[in-house]
Amino acid sequence: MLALPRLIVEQAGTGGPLATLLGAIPVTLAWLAATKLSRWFPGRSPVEYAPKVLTRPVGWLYSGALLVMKILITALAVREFGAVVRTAVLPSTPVEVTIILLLLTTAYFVRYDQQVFARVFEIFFPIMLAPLTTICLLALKNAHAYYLFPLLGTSGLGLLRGAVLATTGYVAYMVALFLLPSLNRPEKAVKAGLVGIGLSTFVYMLAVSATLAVFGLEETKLLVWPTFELIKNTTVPGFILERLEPAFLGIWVAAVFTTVAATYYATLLNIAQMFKLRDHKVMAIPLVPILYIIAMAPPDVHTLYQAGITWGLFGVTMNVGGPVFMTGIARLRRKGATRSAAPTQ
Amino acid sequence: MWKVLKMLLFGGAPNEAPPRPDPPARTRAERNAPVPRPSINQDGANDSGNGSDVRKVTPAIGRGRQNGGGGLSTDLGENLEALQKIFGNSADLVFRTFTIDGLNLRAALVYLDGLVENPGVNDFLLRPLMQRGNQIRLAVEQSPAPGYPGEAGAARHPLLRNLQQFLVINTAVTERAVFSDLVDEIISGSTALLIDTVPAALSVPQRGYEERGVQEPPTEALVRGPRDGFVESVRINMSLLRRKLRDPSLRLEMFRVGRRTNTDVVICYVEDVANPKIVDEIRTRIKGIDIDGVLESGYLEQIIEDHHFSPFPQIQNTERADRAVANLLEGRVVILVDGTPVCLILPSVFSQFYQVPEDYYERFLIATMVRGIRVIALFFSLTFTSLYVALISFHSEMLPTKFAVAVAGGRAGVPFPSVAEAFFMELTMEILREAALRLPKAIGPTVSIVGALVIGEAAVRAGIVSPLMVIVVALTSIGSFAVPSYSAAIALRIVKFPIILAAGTFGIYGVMLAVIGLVVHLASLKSVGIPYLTPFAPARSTDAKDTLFRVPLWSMNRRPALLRTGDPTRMPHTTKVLGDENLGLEGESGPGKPER
Repeated sequence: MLALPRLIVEQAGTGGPLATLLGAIPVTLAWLAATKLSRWFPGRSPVEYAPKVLTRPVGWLYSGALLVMKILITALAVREFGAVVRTAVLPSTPVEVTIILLLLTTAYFVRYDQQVFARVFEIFFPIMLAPLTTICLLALKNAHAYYLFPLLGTSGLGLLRGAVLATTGYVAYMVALFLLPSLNRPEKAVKAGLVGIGLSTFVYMLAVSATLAVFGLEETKLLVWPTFELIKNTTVPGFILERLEPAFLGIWVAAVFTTVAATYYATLLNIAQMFKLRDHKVMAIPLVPILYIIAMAPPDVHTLYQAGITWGLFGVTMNVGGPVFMTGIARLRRKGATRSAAPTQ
Repeated sequence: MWKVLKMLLFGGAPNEAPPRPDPPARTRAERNAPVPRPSINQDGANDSGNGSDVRKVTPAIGRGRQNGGGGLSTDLGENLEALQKIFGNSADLVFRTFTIDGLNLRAALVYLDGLVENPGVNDFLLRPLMQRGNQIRLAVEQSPAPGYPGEAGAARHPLLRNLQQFLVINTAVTERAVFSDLVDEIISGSTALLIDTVPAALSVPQRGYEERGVQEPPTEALVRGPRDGFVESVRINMSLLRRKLRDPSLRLEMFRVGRRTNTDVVICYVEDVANPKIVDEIRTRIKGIDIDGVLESGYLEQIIEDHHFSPFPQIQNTERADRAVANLLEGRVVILVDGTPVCLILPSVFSQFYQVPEDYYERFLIATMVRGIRVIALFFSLTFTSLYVALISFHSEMLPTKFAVAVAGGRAGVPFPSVAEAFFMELTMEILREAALRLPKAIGPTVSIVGALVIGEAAVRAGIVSPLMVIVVALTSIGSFAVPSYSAAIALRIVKFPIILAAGTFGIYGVMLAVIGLVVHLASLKSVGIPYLTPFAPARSTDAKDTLFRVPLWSMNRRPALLRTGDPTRMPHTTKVLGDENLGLEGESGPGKPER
């Protein structure tokens, strides 16, 4: 999230905001496909119905790939945030420490059940949303509208590449796929998911536009974390605190925590369902060292972001391609309670 | 009989006691009387006063006494001896033997001095039995009307039944034929009437003992609101509830908890409002308690709560009657415990710990603002010191320059890192607070104020702490006083220390992680099945009307949905009373003009 504007803008130029918007489309399609699949296989998560739709071994491969992808994404998120914290807020702390702290807190959290999970997210939801939008709106004081033009960017291919990168920002929605089986009112799932995606798109677009408008194209490409730089430039008139980065980062911890917790939880559910464990708590602690090792693998920020792009693209393929693909196959093989089989509405 | 034969055949051994003579011949009525069965579950209005809907459930708990479990014998002397032995020649056990006028039967009253109101016993028990010989003879010869099925406390022995129906003037008279039951009654303050040749006794409650009067609870005083708080007697507490909630659906179920203390515990709820699942769960938990003694509601609270290891209380306690009734109306269950004025309210959620009844007696704007101040105080008491420590240790760039210079100046001579300073000051505050609790009232306030000032000033002068730290710690402590619930305030004070530590080690990152951990912990708590962070977590708009702010009373139409109550409407429509503003009272005053 912090680095996303740069990544998108590197590819799409000033078409960044539009690319962000386009990047939401595959996710929306995937969401529709996933909800359809969950209706065809009520009460089952993707890991559970993959062996049915694809054949048993292929389904296992798919689940395994999902698992690997989730672990990578979790580690990536943790490492990225640890780097931000260390650079900006706690310069003398080694990045290992910040990563371990975040991992341990998240490990404590994901051992609880779904209800607790949902509750904590409900509480943190406004806490994450409010500061981000406030910052972006406050930053508009320094904005120059002409930095945003041309709206479509200079190359169409770049726009598309930027859109694909934008989609990597949505990979955390995968955890919602695992929550689908236990919904009280599954018919509301589609709308709820679309609202969520819409909200995320709005926030991302706001962030990308704000950074572009304040810094301009070339400068944004040079900043590692443009959104963060936005904070540094923001001053709230009359307030008693001046440089707000630590405060912002303090609140940002909540946002990252929810992301990491979401993917971590999805990983645990994936493992628990693949290996038919009693509950998902068992693997919570053993995963910590694995995540730590993977998180520390890239030696510096640049390799981190190169790895991040690769893993992110892998995530996009699995997350977006996966459900769409499986819907097609399920329809072809007539698996599950398709519309012809039973009136599920 | 067998002993006589043995003696005749084998000769009486010198050690063998001579056989006792046969008991006196029974009258025909007594021989025909049905054998009284041991009373295990005899329903009965047990006490004086309004107990018409108190059903006394006597489960197996509370019966673990080693009293004679046997029935009474027909010999008065034996019964009295047995009672003496059970009570161990206690100094306050009184035996008053007399002869029943007109029947020439010896009888005895047994009671515990100090628990019984003597004039009542004299007037209503002794006087008729000792003096109204003619009435007694008449009473014995009459046959009382047959009882109806389910009649509470009917005596079975004919003599006792006649006495109960025609002679003994008391609101509650029951018959007991087993020693353990009788001892129960005597211990609860009843007077036992034992009559020779009758293998049962009448238990007549005539209680009178010293009790505290109803006063305002000292820890929960309000500016505006009723000042009746609970007292130590569970009967009076029940009556306080009754007077405020005059609905017959208010159920009061009494249990006995504690093997040796046999404390009366009453579960109160409003039948159509409280969720029956919650009530059943609470009832099961109370019934399952097996403990030596219950001295305070805190014992119960610690046994029946859901999460024993969390610092946060999942059961609310209060001494105020209006608070208890307000919670009853919302569908909660109130537990009264004899011997303590503090009652328990469950299920409880986090938002209740900054709400007071005064919020509802004042108008909504004022109530909202005052409640907002309270919530701010709550957060202050938790995080202010840690944020301060984080700011000046790690993130001093956040302070405006002038302010930063002032802070630095204050800290110039202080040898310790600010974490240590903060810890030291907070610890001192906690010690001061604990000490102030036990100071006598005359010197308490003076010592604490002067002590705090002097200590603070001296510490600053000595260069151990910086003046700003003193201010911060003082604000934090004052903030914790603003939290209305004592148990929650303590919890916050305890949790504050690890957060200070986290702030000192990892700055604001540490504070946030600690707060996140705290939120996760709170989200995982449940109080009798209700999530602790309702209405924040399972967010409901109807409940949001009363959380951080308080909407006007006339728009709180529904009860909180969190308790899944029956009868969800408080008011069927808005009952804001709009009057006609134009009463024609403006204009010139003077003798009223004639109406046209």
